[in-house]
Amino acid sequence: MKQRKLIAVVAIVLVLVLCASVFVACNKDEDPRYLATTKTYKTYASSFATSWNVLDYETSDQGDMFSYSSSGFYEFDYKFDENGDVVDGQFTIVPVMASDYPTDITAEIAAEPDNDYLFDEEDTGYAWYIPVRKGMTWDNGDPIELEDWIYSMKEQLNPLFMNYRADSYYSSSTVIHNAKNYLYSGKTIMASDDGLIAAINGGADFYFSPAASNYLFGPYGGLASSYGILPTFDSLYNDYFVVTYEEQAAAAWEAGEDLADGAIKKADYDTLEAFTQAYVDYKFTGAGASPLRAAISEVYTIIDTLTPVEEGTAAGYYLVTDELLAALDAVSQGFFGGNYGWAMCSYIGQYPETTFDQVGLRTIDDGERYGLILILDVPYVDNGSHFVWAYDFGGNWLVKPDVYEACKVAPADGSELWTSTYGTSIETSPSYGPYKLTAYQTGKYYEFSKNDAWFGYSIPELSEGYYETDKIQCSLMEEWDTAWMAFQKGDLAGIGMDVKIADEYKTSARAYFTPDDYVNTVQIQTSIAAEPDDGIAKEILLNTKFRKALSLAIDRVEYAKQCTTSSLAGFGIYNSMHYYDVENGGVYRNTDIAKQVICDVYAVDVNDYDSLDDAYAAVVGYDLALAKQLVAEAIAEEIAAGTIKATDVLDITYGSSVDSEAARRPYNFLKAAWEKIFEGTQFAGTGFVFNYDGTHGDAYANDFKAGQYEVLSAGWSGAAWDPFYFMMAYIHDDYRYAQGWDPRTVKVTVTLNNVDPETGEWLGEGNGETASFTMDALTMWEELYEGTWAEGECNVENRLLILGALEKTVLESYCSIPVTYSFGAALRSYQIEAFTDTYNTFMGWGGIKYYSYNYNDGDWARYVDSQNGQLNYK
Amino acid sequence: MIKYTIKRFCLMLFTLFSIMTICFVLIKSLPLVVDVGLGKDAEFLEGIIEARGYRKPVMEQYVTYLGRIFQGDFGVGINMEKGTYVLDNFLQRLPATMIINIYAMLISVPVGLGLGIFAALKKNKWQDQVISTGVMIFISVPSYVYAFLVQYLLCFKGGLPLQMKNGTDWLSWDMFVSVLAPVLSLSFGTIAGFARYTRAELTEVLTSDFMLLARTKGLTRGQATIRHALRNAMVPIFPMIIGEFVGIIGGSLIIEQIFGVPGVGRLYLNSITTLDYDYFMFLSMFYTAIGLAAGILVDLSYGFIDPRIRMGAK
Repeated sequence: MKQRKLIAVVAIVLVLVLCASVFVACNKDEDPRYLATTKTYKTYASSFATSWNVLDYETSDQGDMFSYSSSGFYEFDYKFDENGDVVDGQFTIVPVMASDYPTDITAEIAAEPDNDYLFDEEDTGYAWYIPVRKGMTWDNGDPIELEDWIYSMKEQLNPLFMNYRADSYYSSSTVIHNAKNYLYSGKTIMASDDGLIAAINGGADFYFSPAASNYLFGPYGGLASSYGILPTFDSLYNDYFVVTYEEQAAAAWEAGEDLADGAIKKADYDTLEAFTQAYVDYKFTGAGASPLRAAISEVYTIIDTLTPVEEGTAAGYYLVTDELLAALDAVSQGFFGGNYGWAMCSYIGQYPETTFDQVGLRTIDDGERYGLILILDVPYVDNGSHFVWAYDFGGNWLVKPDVYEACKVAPADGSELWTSTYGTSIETSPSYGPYKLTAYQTGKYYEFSKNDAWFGYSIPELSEGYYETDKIQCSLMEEWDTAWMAFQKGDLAGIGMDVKIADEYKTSARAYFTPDDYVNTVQIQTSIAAEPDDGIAKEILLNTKFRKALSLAIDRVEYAKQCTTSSLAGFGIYNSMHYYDVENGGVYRNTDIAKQVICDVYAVDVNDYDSLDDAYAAVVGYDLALAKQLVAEAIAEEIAAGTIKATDVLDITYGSSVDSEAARRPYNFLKAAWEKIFEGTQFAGTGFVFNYDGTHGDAYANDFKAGQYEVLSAGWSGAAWDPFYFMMAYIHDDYRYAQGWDPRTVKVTVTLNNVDPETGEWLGEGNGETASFTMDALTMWEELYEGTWAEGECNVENRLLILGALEKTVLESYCSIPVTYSFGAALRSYQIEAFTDTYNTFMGWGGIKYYSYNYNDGDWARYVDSQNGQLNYK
Repeated sequence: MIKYTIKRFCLMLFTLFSIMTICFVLIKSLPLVVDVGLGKDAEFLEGIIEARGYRKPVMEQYVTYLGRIFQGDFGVGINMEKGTYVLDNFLQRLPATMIINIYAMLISVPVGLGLGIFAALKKNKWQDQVISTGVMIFISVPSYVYAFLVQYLLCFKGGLPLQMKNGTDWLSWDMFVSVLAPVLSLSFGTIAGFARYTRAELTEVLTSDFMLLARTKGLTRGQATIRHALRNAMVPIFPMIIGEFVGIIGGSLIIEQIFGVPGVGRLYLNSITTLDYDYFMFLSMFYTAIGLAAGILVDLSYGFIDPRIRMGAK
């Protein structure tokens, strides 16, 4: 009986399985996936945006989210020739939300009565009329009104929110009149140097506090370190421990901290004075010490006669009198040989009370004109290509007023700032672009579908033949390996190549390579306190020959191969993506000036080659023999100088944000490379300890700047179309990784043509003389960026000469050692095609607008299944 | 018992407050640096930090924070998950974490206990050695290693989905199929843990004198094992199961990361690396409270499992 039952059960199961198999087989062609006629662009992200508020976004993944659902006034597009073919490397600017190109109305605006604009009727580029298309709507059909832009800018600059993007309208190349004043309306601030100088010139009062000053007397020893003569306070503090001023320095340190908070006390000043005097004793043993001590005493003597301000931000500060300024000048003379007393003071002022009506953005709808009027403090130079309008003004700040109002969140207790939930869900993400958000799951995925209400779909020149993609789906895949498997199963439209598959897939027909303006550098720490007796020879990093040896030890070609998927060996701080003349395809790296810089820095004699190009091509930047020689010389020099001992070891740390296999690749490479050049020296074998510290997280850059570790692999991208501005990353205190290297202390000489030999002013072709100018690197850059040699003030040839001189100076510091020019390698799915085979700097590969499809979703599913669910991209 | 429970509860609140204070002070001790990119206004960025009150004395901030949470205001994400309500976001993510952990527990407990019992009954025979070897492997090898293997073999080469399904239909069949791989990955370690512990406990009980008495009384081996040995062995094992259940809401950072589970596992780590104070404090409080509550629950459970155990009895 039991056996019968068993047989029956088995028989039933078999029949069911058979039926199911037949059913599945019969319906294979009718798999619902095969029926889909949509075209979906499937992508992934390793980190995911959780908000995409255009007024407040911080990261590129946030920017990606609203890029689908927004439009710009003007956008880049391919340039086509008369045959309709794409012109490589060229671009055109297309009005999108704007109905036409902007018109310069500076004269008209300047003529307005009682204005406070920074221009007059003869000027150009300060005020623009931007004609706006009529009839545009949000995705729900609500009309987009001109006032929406005004509302949005008002919210962008709303001081109650301090939205992250607010400074984009006064701190970048777009400086809207009164934008900053509105943001800071009525606020008391301490001005930075530039503001201070302006204040002095304007006759404003300024203040001095020996403790809170960021300069010589202050807790951070700012002036001292800024001028490269004295170490930072941190190292100063350490020095004191070494020279037995421990208690005094500790007291001063504590006092300084208190004082910085405004709790000022006379006793603290006494301590500070003692501290400063003690430092003079320590640092100046020669004839200069005595007058310097007297000058410092004089400062404190004068302070004793003054009454500190008791209220407001200026509490604890002294109004600077002529006498006090003279005393401060005397101190700076003793230290630096110049009158920098003003630099020890602060301008404390108040931004004017400003209403939004005074901000340089307004609407115009007078029957003839319908659009926005933009009033700037820094002019836009539009030479006819309209490039500036897509580059500087391509973004849009538009938010939907009713939704934005509903998303406002009042400040939490203890905070003064309002926040917003705009752009955190489907409901709070109104669209005015070609796509709209239709699905979103936090930390998982999002989906954009076509926004049928987008105005562009009814304008043939904006959309006809484009936007083949029906949906965009993006999933969060934090692990590259997962994404790689998904790509092979046909679930992704593309994937960036990891080093582990690069060799195998680089030659794939579906591989493509994207140049990037990012230049990877090895940063060497030079903010190092001299501690001769600690047995560790870190001080040798201060030796330029030694740093040069570290540079020459790096085989950049091999570095690129081992540490990156497809980057190229890099020798300069600019690569072929940095355009000085975008309209005409002028790339700085391709100029003779830039090539000569590389040849000079890497000691390639052009005379040994047929041409500069040949010489430039011969640069390898790798010379083990010379590196070893330089190491030996540097060690001998430092031992002779007493900064290191012959028994010292070199114990340095490589810092990183994370500890991963990929992050360790550069470390491993550098370790092996540098061990080679230390052979035969005291740093051979156990004499060289190279630690890895991957605990710095997002603070890795700031930690390096603060001197917490000695070697960093990092770089800069951005401003690819303004290499003159980009130099700021290597020169300016706010950005430079190498804080120990001070461009104020490095003299640069440049020879310019057709200039006034006294002022350096460019006088035009055929005029002026050829003259040389020598100044410190920072000043030279400031003159290049916004001074005598700024854009519009000087011809591009001279500007390139200056840029070359500055690049050479940075390279020869060997604090920022370029190693690779970034190139991204990726694989594109068989499902989609890019618009061009050639990468276009302005359009990339065409983006979502230009993607075309070999298979719709149904056909693609069928194709993937026909390949047994796994595609071969080799 | 009630007195004991109340006492433990009060102590729990005190411990929670202490840990919360320590967490607040520690996270606030980390340097809050302004990361200035090209074209950004350093003064403005510093102004944002000041306006948020982050430069005020730490204890002043703490008092303000306590005031807020007593009003039920856990804040809005500032650096991480910007613009999202902390509590809402956490609750949105919790089901994904819970669903994979519940499935994992439903598999792990019976399989783990079964293997442990089987191994104990077959002590020192080949079956025991096979199970013990497997247990050692799964305990020793980190979960992400076999998570990758599971993903490669069952998902990439096999037919299971690579990633957890999109959507919030947590109890649907499609969702179940899509979470099989992370559930299996989570289960291996837990199964091994239960099996090892059960085997050890049961082996010890099986050799006790009272088991010999039970057999001499005439019970079969099976009867003696189920009625006496297992019940005694379960005294330490049951609290372990409770502890594992508490871990359900903790989430698994690596497993969630590999299988695209939109859970809470990564929130905590991200809140520290991005210095999002509201997220960090909420998650710290939540996990601390859960951990402390679990401790009490486990202690109390002893009394229910074995009536001879009386907490706090004199």
